[in-house]
Amino acid sequence: MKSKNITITISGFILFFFLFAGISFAEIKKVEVGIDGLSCPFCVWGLKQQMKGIKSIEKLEISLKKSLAHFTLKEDSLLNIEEIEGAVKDAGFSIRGIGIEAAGEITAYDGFPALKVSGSGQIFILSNFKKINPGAAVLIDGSVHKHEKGKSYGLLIKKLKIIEDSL
Amino acid sequence: MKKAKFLLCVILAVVLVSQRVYAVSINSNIGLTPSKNQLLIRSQTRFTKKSDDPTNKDRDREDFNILTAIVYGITEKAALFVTVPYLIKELKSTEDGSGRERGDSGVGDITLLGKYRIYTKDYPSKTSRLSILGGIKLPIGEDDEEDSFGRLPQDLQLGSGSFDPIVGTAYTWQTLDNELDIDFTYKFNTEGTNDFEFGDLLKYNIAYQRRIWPFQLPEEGLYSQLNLVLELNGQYQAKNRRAGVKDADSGGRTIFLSPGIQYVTERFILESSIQLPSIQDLNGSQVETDYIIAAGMRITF
Repeated sequence: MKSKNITITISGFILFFFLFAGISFAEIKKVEVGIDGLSCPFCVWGLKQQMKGIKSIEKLEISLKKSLAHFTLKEDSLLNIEEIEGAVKDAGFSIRGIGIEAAGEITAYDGFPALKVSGSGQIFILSNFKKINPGAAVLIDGSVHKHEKGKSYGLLIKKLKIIEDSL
Repeated sequence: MKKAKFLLCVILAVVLVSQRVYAVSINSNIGLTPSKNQLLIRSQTRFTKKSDDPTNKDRDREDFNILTAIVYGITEKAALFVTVPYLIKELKSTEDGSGRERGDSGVGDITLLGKYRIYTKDYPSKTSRLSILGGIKLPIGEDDEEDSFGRLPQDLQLGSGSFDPIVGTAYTWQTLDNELDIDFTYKFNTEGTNDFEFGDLLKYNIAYQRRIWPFQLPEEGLYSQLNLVLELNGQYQAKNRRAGVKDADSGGRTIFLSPGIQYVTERFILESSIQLPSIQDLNGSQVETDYIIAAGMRITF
C-alpha cells in the first residue's frame, strides 16, 4: 500500500512537471507568416535579411512553394505584428496573414475572453471562443489580427486543445 | 592576350564565389526592385562579333564589354544602379591593299540609373510589378584616343564625351514556374567630342523564362533552379550626326532572338545567352552583327 502511494506520488510529480514544463516554456511555439508576391529565391534572400533584423525572431525558415515564413520567438519575447509588417514591407512584399500556435491560460481582458501566453504574459483577445473556464491551460492554433492602437491583438481560434482545466 | 586575361578573370570570379541567388532575364530590364538596403552586384561579359562588310574594306569587328553593375535598394520601391563597363574594341580591315588593326581598351562611360516601382499586385507565389527608369550616361571613358593611323573613329573610342539621359519602363509577371518581362528604354544621345552625336537609341525587350529543374518544387524550404530563357531584344538607333550632318552609314534596326540558360540559387545566379540577329535593317553600308555572347553572374548581399 505504501509503495503504491509512493508510485502515485512520483507519477503525479512527473505528470505535473511535464504539464508545467509544456506550458511554461512553450509560449508562442510557432509563428507562420503568409507572404504574397514571394516568387523567386532572390526575393527570399531580401526577405530573410529584413526579418533577421527583428531581434525576437529565431529559427527562421522560408517555404517558397507555400509562400510562408516560419519562425519561433525567443523566450519571453512578445509577438510584434507591426515589426513583422515593417520587415515584409521593406522586403517589398505583402502579408497574407499571421498564424500562431501558443500555449497559455484562459483569462479575461476588457470583459472579453483572452489568452495569456505562458512566459511572456502577452494577451490575445480570443474570437470564435467556446466557453472554457478561466485559468484553464490551453494550446491554441489561430490567426492573429490587429485591433485599435494600444489594444491587445486578436486571435481567431482555429484549433483549441485544453491541456488542464482549472476546475 | 588582354582579352584572354579578362575572360579568365570573369571565369575565375564566377567559379570562386560560391554563394546562393535568383531569376530574371539576361538581356532585358525587369519590373522588380531589390529590398530596402539590399545590395546586388552583377558582372556580365559580352562578346560582339561583327563582319559581313558590304564594302571592300572587309571590316571585321570584335568587342568585349565587361560590365559591372552595383544595385542598391534605397527603399523597397526605389533602387540605384551604377554600371561600369570595361571595353576592349578591335577593328580589322583592309585599306589600300594592306591589313589594318585598330582598337582600344579601358573603362568606358559609366551609367547611373534609378528605378522606382509604381505598380505592385501580389498574390500567393506570384507578383505583377511595373517600374519606371531614369538616369544618365556620364562621359567617363576616353573619347579622343589616337593610334598610328590618327584619331580613332568615334565608335572605337571608349566614351562618347556626352551626357546622355535615359528613360524607360519595365514590367514583370513572375511566378514560381515562369517569368515574363517587357521593357522599353530610350537614350537621348547628345553631342559629345568632335561635334559628334550618336543617334538616339530605343531598346525594347520581351523575355520569357521557364523553370526546367527541379520539375516538382519541394513542399518546404528553398531550392536551386535551372531556367531556360528566351528573349526578343530589339533596338532602333537614329543616324549619327557630325557637326549637325547626318551620317548615312549609321543607325538602323536590329532584333535579336536570344536563347539563354540560368542557374539560380538563393544568393547567386550564373547565366549565359547568345543573341542572334533575326532582323537586321541597317542604314547605308555598315558591318552587320553576327552574334553576341553574354555570360555573367549576380550575387546579392
